[in-house]
Amino acid sequence: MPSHSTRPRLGHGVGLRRPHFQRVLSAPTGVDWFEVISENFMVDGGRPLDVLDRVRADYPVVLHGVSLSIGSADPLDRGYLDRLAALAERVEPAWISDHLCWTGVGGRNAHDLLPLPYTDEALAHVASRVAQVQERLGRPIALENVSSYLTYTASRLSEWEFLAEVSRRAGCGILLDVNNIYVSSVNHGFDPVRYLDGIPADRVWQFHLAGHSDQGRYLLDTHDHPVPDPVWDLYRRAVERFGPVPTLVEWDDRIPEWDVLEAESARARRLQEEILAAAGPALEAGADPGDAA
Amino acid sequence: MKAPAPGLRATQDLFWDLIAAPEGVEPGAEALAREGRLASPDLSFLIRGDGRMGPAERLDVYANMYFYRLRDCLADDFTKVAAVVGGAAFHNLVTDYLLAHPSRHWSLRYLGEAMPGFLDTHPLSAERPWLGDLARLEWARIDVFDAADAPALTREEMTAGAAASGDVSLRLIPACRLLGLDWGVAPVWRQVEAAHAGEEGAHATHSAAVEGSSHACFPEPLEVAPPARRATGILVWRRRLGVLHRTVERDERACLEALSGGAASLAALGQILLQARDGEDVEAATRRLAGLVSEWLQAELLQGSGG
Repeated sequence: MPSHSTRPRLGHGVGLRRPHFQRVLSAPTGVDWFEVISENFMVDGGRPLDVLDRVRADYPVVLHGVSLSIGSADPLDRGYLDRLAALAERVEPAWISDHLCWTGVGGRNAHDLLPLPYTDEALAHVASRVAQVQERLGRPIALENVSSYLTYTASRLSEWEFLAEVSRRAGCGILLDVNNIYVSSVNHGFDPVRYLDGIPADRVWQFHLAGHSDQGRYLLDTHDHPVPDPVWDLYRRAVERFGPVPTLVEWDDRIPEWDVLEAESARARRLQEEILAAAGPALEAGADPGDAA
Repeated sequence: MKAPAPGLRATQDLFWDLIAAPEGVEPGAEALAREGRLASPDLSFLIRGDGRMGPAERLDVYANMYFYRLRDCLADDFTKVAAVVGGAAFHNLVTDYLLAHPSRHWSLRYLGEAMPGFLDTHPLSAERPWLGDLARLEWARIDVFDAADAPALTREEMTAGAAASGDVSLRLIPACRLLGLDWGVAPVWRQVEAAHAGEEGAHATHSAAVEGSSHACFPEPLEVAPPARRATGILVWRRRLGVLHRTVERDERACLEALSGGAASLAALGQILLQARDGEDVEAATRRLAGLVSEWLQAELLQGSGG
């Protein structure tokens, strides 16, 4: 029997993107919640915050960041954390998440989710910084696994071992990106189910689903396609293991009409409900992410 | 014997130098080896290769993502500049720009901040010396898009203030910029905007996508009528959620410059206007000021109390 995550049951959401602002604000939707890219709303005013306030009036919102750079060798950016804390105070998000990666060093920012070496040094560094971030924000955060295209020679842990240990040491949640697991499994030649099996079930707060593109010798995490069948298959395995985890569909480039995105989320909902119904009460559980800290 | 694996900071410093190398990872590694910063260009001490891809090829994935993500961001910020120079020249401009001005902020929002000044001295400006001013206009529009909100002064508030104290202190909303340019670039902006609207219409017939890649619209330079070289004031502001700009006359510019420095009274603005309109009588200047204030109120350029 699987163990269960301590998490709120937000249900099924999508990433809120600019082309859908008008549609989302003008009529009810078939999704339960929205995730927004935190940095797009860490601004002084104007349309972004106006839209976010109006969406938040009707839906739960999760703040999902891309610039925390939790694994950077540079000091944590206190100005960034202050802006994030202010946004969280305004939005009252269900939770705050970012990525297990680094985005820059030496004061320069690549604005990309760069992979970490899975070493003891990096593990201690990341766990300590997650604790500092959580203290500043006054709440636990969730970290997401990224797609990766290389492995450092120095790595002595697998990614899932590293992620699980960061979560254990820092008391943070895990945002499990099913597409990223699949992309990395192809790029590095590991079994994605082994990855799922290595993640502590009580730490998983959220799933991400997305599409990717095939570059021939590797898969690229592009978020510009529908969720492909192998990712749906892996999602099925993830739900079987982790239960009714809130699930979000991301689509960031070549963004389709709203109805297409909504249909992807509805498909995730149907699939999760089928699996939960077949499994019975053993997979039913839920609480507040604050309990996981 | 392979070099020992570096620690976290050394790993990240080296990773950065390799993905930001303008010619690509492999030439970047060779350059670092020549400089003595690497024992050899063989990167297997850092990255594991396999039968599919070697270490440099794997790092190249990140190098490409680094460049193209930032290029696309700058192309979105400077759509008009990108259109008039064309895709290839813009690509090279971004390469030069990122070497001089790598992003130093957590938000991509600020990546293009130095672009107007950079363009002033870039070789691309030899043929089109007005590119820097066109970029200034584009950047000001970005700057006001998400500037702080503020309630607009209403006609009633202003009338009530004047009745109470005999004069009114005016100030501009935060989402407002006054540009002093050497070139009249507003018509260039309009020409590209019109061409862009046509392009997007054409794209919409071929694709169901709601949001295409605007930066890919003009691979060839877009022919535009070059702007006149003349001192030009352009006012850029956000009215509610929409960004607007317009060219301003010399006398209005003098008033707006005073307002940009902080609050100014109607009486002070009247004096500024009189000086800016040499030889004009007080009555005409007063009429002109009343007309300007009325326009500013209509445009929601003046900040009110929100009460």
